[in-house]
Amino acid sequence: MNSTLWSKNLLHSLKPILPELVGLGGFLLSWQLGAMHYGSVVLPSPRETAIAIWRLATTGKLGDALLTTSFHLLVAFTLAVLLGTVLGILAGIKLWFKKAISPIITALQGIPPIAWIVLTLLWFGTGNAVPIFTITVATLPIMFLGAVEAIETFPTPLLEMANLFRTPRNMLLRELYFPHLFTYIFPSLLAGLGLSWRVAVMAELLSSETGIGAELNLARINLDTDEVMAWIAIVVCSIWVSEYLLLRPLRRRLEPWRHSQIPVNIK
Amino acid sequence: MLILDRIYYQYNRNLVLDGVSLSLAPGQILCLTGPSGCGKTTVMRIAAGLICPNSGVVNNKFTGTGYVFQEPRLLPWRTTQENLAFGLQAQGISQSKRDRYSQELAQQLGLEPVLHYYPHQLSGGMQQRVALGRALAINPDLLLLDEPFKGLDVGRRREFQEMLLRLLRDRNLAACIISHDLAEAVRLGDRILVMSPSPSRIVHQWQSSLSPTARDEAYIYRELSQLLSLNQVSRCFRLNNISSHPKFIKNNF
Repeated sequence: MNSTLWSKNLLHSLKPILPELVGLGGFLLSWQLGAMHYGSVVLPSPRETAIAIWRLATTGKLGDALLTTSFHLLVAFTLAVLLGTVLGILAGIKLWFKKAISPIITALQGIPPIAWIVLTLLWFGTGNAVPIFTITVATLPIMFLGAVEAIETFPTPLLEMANLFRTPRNMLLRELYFPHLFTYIFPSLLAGLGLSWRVAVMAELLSSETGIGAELNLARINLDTDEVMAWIAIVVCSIWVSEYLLLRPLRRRLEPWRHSQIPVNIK
Repeated sequence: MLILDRIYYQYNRNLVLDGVSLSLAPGQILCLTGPSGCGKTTVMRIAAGLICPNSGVVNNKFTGTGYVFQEPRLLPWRTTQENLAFGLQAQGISQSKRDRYSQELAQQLGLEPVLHYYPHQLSGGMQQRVALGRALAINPDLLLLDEPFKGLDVGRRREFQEMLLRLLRDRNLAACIISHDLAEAVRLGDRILVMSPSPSRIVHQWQSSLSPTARDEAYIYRELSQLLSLNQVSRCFRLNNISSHPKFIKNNF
């Protein structure tokens, strides 16, 4: 009696995230089936992967790698957001500047991140500089385009209304410009973050001796498939954490007025 | 007192306003009417100082002017309460005073149940009421309203009109209301200015002998039919006269 009540309560509390759970469950199931079919050397099962993650966590490897990669991401992502947004705002305001900078942004978008890695390896050698530079350059166009869009769609009727009330400049910034800008920049933040993670792992794999990418490379050399799978799972979990526990709550806090769902941006 | 004297306004080399003059005394309700595209909004925007005329004099002696746009123009990221208090916030009035005043306003406008809702959760009529409240919040003595009843059904329209008249009387406000509906203008205005399109001129002035509350339906219909029997007024409003418009003749014959 008591246990059925307990399970009922649990079911009730899980109801809002049921679609997510179904998706995740289906994914784990097909992973398990694949592992059973191909054997653990080719595709380690979810359980073996979990054990490998636990081993990495207890030996301290996981913490070190996460710290290094987070450092790369934090520095590069902040740089990309600041630079991209400032350039985007300028381009949104001055058509001349937009025309001047657009070919450069298109070029940046077109250059594959791997090309930047090769080039920066020649410039900086191994170390933090390669992942940081590559992530920044790869993410910048997304932030730039988001900011241009934000300025170009600025609601001038609202500005006219605010000016009739003789709204002071700082209030205009706080009540009008920032909320609007944030609305448009947020989807770029999500897309940029996903891209940053992918580029970070790639750059570290090819250029660094530390970080998740470097550890992934080491596991590959050792033919340790469990550990390769474990690192991949760690990257995926990190993206989930940064999106669902960081960016989305941030948006809910800054934009309580927005109830619409936004598309999930994990590729 | 608001005075517009011989206003000329050009836009893209087209003459939009061709010598429009009007005056509005304290406490008076002036209706600006005419068909769509006859420059009513332009006159209003010039009166509010949003645009400058090419020539003519604008003299606004009212101490505070409130403006209600055709669209509500509410901040989508702010609640009803915060939108109502927008003008007060711009004046640097403290949060507690703002809250108290916007609650008072919400009560007068029937917005109490939606005080903490965001604009996208409100109906068009409710949004328009918030916009009216926002304009009233700064305690103006002149209110400019650009088609405030647009998009409301007949019942809501009447309800909103009565509320507006009550608020204007209680606060002894002067108001200039734009409407393309002549019957509505006869119902609300102490004075009506009828505007003709291309080029925009004031072709007729009408003055009511009764206060808005004393007007019954019979009075309104009588005045309306008298107005429409005038040549210069019917020419503005009647569609069958389009065939004699020079542009129509040029394009079709």
